[in-house]
Amino acid sequence: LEVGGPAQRALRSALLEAKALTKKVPLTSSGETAILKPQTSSNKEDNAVKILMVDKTKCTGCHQCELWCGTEISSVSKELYQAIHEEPQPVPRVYVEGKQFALQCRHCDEAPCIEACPNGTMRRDPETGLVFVHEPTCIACWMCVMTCPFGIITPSPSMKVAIKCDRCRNMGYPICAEVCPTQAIKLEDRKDYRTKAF
Amino acid sequence: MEFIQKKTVDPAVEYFLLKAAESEIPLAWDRYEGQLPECGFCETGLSCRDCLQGPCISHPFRDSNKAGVCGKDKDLLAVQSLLRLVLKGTMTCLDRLSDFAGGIEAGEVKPQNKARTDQLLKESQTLFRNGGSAAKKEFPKNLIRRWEEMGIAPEGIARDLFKASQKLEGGATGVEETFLWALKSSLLACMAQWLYGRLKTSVFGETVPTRVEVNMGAMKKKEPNLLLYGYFSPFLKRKIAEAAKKQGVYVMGVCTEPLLPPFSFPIATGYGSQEIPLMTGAVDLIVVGDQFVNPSLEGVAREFGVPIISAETLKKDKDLSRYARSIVEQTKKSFDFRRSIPREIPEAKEYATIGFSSQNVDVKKIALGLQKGILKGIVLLAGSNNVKYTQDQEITLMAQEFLKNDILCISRGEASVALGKYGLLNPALKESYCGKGLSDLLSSLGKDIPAVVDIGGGDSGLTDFLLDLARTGKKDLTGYPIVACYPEANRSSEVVEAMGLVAMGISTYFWPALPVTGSVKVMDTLTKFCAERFGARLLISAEKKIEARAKADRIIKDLMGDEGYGISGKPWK
Repeated sequence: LEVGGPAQRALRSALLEAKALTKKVPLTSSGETAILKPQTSSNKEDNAVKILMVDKTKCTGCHQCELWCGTEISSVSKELYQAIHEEPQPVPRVYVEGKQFALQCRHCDEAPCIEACPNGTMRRDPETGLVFVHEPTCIACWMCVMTCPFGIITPSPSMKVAIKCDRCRNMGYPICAEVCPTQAIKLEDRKDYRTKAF
Repeated sequence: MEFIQKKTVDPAVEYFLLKAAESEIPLAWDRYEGQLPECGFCETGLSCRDCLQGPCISHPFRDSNKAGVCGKDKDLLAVQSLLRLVLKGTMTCLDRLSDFAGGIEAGEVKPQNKARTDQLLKESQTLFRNGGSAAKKEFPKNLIRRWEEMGIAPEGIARDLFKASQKLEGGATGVEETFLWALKSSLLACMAQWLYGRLKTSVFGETVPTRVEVNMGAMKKKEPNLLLYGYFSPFLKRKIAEAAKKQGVYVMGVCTEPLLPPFSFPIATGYGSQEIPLMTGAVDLIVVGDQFVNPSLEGVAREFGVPIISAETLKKDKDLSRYARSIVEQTKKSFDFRRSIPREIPEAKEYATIGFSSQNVDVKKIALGLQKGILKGIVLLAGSNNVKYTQDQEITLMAQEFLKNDILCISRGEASVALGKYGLLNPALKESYCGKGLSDLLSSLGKDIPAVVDIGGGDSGLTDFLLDLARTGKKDLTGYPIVACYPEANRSSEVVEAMGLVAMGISTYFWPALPVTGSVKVMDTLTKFCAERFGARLLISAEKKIEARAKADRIIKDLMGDEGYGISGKPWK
């Protein structure tokens, strides 16, 4: 190839176009596309992301969030009495750490799981800023499982997909916050602590 | 999660619900909604706090905590949750009997039948000590033999109640064995309840069908109203009634025995709406026991300036007559004091004929009706209200479905109150509820028989009726198309009654689900294991949202089968 010649220019423009295309990630199986926004907190809209805040002093470790998350999000029947006996066993997306902390996905501004995902399965919802797994394309490489700093993402015991909390993005209100008897789990706007610190 | 869309079907109660909301008085329904979601582990029986290492749970969705610290797995946790309920219910029944027997021994009353009373008192003592051999003679021999073979025949408090309670402490007792211990305890309770009823009959005389007024419309506007809540000494109740009669005080009951011959108490309302009568402003004083009484009464009574007297205190007046007189005096004083408070009595009143027993209902005709196929079956309706269901809706809708299909409905206790409020116990309205066959049969039994027959008032009447039926047909109760149905149960004593009925060979449908749904093994024990051993099942539904008519349909199908019992002549399965 001639350096700076027309063939190289054509190749370069084709490459650029392909790179731009990779940013267009299909959101649904029907092929609709949406362009992802830059994933940094410098974007003002990201500050409006509502995430689940957990008050360590209020958490009693009663595991109700786990129970109802498993029932509402993961079971087929959506009824506690039947969900208990379901096979495969439903997997809750929230995990009560030790005795006093209900832990679920923090939907990081700069999410390592999205960075690590090789094929765009781990995505950010452009409207709500929530990170979720697009299950049909998951190849079960567990890169996200390894990179998650909170250990929230787990391999599904029955299917070859990674599972994590998507903050009930398709529901009106997150179930764990709704059922928490002491209101230790609350839905709040994410604050930008960096501006406060400096 | 569940929310109650409609709280009650009783218009009188509904009227006061709005008033309560306006004046911000929290009622049972509000408190229930505040509780939601109820603890899922406790609801399914997968929790335990029998020791101080806990509380423990068996997590259905996590492998890390499938068993408690001591190693109780989900099956054991679930069956022990049931056992815990049963033990509590057993003590309820034993308390009634010992309280009543104590009252007779203290000479509170002159028994009508002295010899029989003495004999029954001795029997109750032997029941406590070694399981009461005389009481067992009344039950069919093969039933007792079956119980003895399994080791569940009552053997006294020490062997039944104390030993069964130790199963919660630990040991290597499997699910079925633990369940049998629960049954053993339940049978002791059922014997005690039966003996209590017998004792009451021998002291006060046989109950006769009596017409009583039901619902809040029965309250008097211009007289002092005294309300008796829950179970407490029948002697005190009688003495209150005597004193009140002299002083012109009107006495009503809520969740209490309405018939204490020669007295009968009008029924103000059912269990679920027990706070509502206070809101009319027409109640001047309430006397409460412990069983069936919500502690919330105290708060509502304070709100409306109603004095409240607990009949079950450590230091109560030993002289019951003086105590009763002082209660009635206080009611009068309170009436004078409360003159300025507006009295708003709803025009909701219904008549109910209650107090039938196998003495005044011809069991032979019923057995013959079943044989000929005029009656398609018998359903025993029992249980009080439960805030998880629309008050009274389940039981009334189900009873109507049964009656339409020529199924004889027999009710007891609180179930009679719920049905009585809507005229199902009013003989004048019989025709409008019953199918042709049932209506004719009821007419042949007597003149004033209502659509639903109230038997025994929660005491021995029902057991006696069942035993008479078995004796008449000369076959086991499993051979009859009888089921028991608890559409809105809530007390532990009702769990005990249901367990006793299953042991006697009567399949029992129980709503809401008992705290055993977390374990398939325990659910199987209640159905398959019981069917093998007793020919009856304790049926608990894991589906929460079923329409009352659908529930009734399920029972009707179970009773009549595809071809229907009487017509095919095939034995009921």
